[in-house]
Amino acid sequence: MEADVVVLIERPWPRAAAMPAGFEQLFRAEYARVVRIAYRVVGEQGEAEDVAQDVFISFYRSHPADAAYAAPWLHRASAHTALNAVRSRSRRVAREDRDAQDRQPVADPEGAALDRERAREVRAVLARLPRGAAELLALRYSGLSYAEVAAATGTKIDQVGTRLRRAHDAFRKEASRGQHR
Amino acid sequence: MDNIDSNEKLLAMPPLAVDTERGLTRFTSTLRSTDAQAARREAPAFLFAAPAKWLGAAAAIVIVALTLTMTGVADSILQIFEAKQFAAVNVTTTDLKTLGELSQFGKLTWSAEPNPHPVASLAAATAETGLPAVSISVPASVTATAQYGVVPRTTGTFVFDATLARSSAAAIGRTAPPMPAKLDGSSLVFNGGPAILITYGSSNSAAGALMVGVAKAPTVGSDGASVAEIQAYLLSQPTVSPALAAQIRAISDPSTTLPVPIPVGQAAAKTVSVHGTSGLFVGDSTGLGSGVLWQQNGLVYVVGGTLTEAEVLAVANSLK
Repeated sequence: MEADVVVLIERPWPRAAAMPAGFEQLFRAEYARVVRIAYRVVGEQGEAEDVAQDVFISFYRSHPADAAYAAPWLHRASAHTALNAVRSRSRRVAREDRDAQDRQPVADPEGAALDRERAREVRAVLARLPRGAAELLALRYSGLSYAEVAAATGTKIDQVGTRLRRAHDAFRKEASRGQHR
Repeated sequence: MDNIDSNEKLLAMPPLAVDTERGLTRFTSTLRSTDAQAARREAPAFLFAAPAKWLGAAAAIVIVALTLTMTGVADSILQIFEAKQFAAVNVTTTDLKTLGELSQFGKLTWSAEPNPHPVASLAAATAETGLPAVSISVPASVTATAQYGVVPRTTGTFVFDATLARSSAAAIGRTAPPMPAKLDGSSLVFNGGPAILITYGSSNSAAGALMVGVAKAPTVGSDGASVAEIQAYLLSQPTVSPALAAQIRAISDPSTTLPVPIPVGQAAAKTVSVHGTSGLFVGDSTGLGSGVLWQQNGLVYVVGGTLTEAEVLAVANSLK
C-alpha cells in the first residue's frame, strides 16, 4: 500500500507522460511544411529541422493543439525563426562547418556546389529584405497556396498577389545590389 | 514579369525529403527532458522531489513573482522587497510556463550558481550558514534518518533588455508591448539564502518523507527603475493572464508578501496559524502530501512531506 502511495506522489506532471494525441496529429500534418518553409530561408536541411523543432516546442508550450490558428501560426513562426537564424551568423557558420565535415561524397559535386552557392545567395538576400517581404517569399516558395500564405500573414487573400509582386521587386533589387558589391 | 521569372529560378525549392517520424522522435525526446524539469517546478509534490533541484528552478519563478508584486513600493536603490508573509496565487499550467520564461525580458546572471550541497550534520549546517539550529519532533510514520543540506547565500541579477524582449516575442509571432526606456538596462538584484534543508527519506523511499527548510528571508533590490513601470510593463505582457494579474494586484502588502504559485487543480492553499503567526498551508489535491510556509524573525520556514495536514502542522509547531 505504501508503495502505491509513493508511486502516486512521483507521478509526473501529466504533460511529461505523453504528448496529447491532438498534438501528435498536428505534428504529423505540419512538420514537413514547417521544415520546408525554414529550408527555403536557411538553405540547409539540418538547420531547417532545428528551426522546425524550436517552432513546435514554442507552439506546444503556449497553445492548444486544436487551435484553429495552429497551422498558420506554425508557418509564420517557421519563416520568422528561420530569418532570425540567418541573421545570427555565428550559429550558421558553426553549422556549415559541421555539415561540411558530415557531408557524404555526391555524384555531381559541381551541381551540389552550385546548389549551395544558390542557397547562400538566396539566404543572404532574404536576410537583407524587409522582414514582411522575406517571410512572404519564404512561405510562398516553400509551396504554400495563396490562401495559406494569406492565413499565415494575416493578409486578405486578394492582396497576396500584389504583396508578392512587391516582394519580388525588393528581392530582385537586393539581389542585383549584392552582385555589384 | 522578368523579375518574377528570374526570382523564381533562384527561389524555386530543390526537392527535399523530410522524415517526419524522425522529427517526431526528436521532438518527443526533447519534451521528455524539458518537461521532466518543468514537472519538478510545477508539481505540487515539489517539496518532496529533490529539493536541491527544485530550489534552482524555483528561483527564476520567484524573481518574476517578486517583480510582479512591487506595486506601490517607493522607488529605491536599496531593498524593495523582503518576504515576511506568503500569499497563494492560483496559476494555470500556461501561467507557470510563461512566468518561468524570464529570459524573454532580459538576462539573469548569478554571482554564483545556486549550489546546494550535503553536509554531515546539523552542526556543520549551522556553522556554514550561521543560521540557528532547529529541533524537530518527527512523526512515527517517518522512519528514515535525517540528512542535512546547505544552500549558500546566492545573489542573482536580472537586467531588463528591450531588444531581447522584442525578439523573443517576434520569435513566437507576437508583438510585445514596448519596454519603457527607463526599464531597459535596469537591474533587479535578488538575494536568496543561506538555507538549511533537513530531509527524512525521499519520494523514492517506501516510508513517509519529511522535509524541513530554514532560510534567511529572500530580498529584492532595484537599481532605479520605477516599480510602477516594472509592474505596468510585466502585467501588460500578453503572456500574463488577466486572472493572474488581478490576483497579484490584489495582494495588499506587496513589498513583504511572497506570492506562492499554486497550480490550479493540482494543489490548494489556505492560511493557517503556526507558532502564533500566519502561515500558508499547501495541500496536494491527492491528499497525500502537504506543506506549510511561514516567516518568523527574518527567517522563512518550510515543512512538507507525505503527511496529513494535522501531521505537517504538528511538525511545524514542534520546531524549536
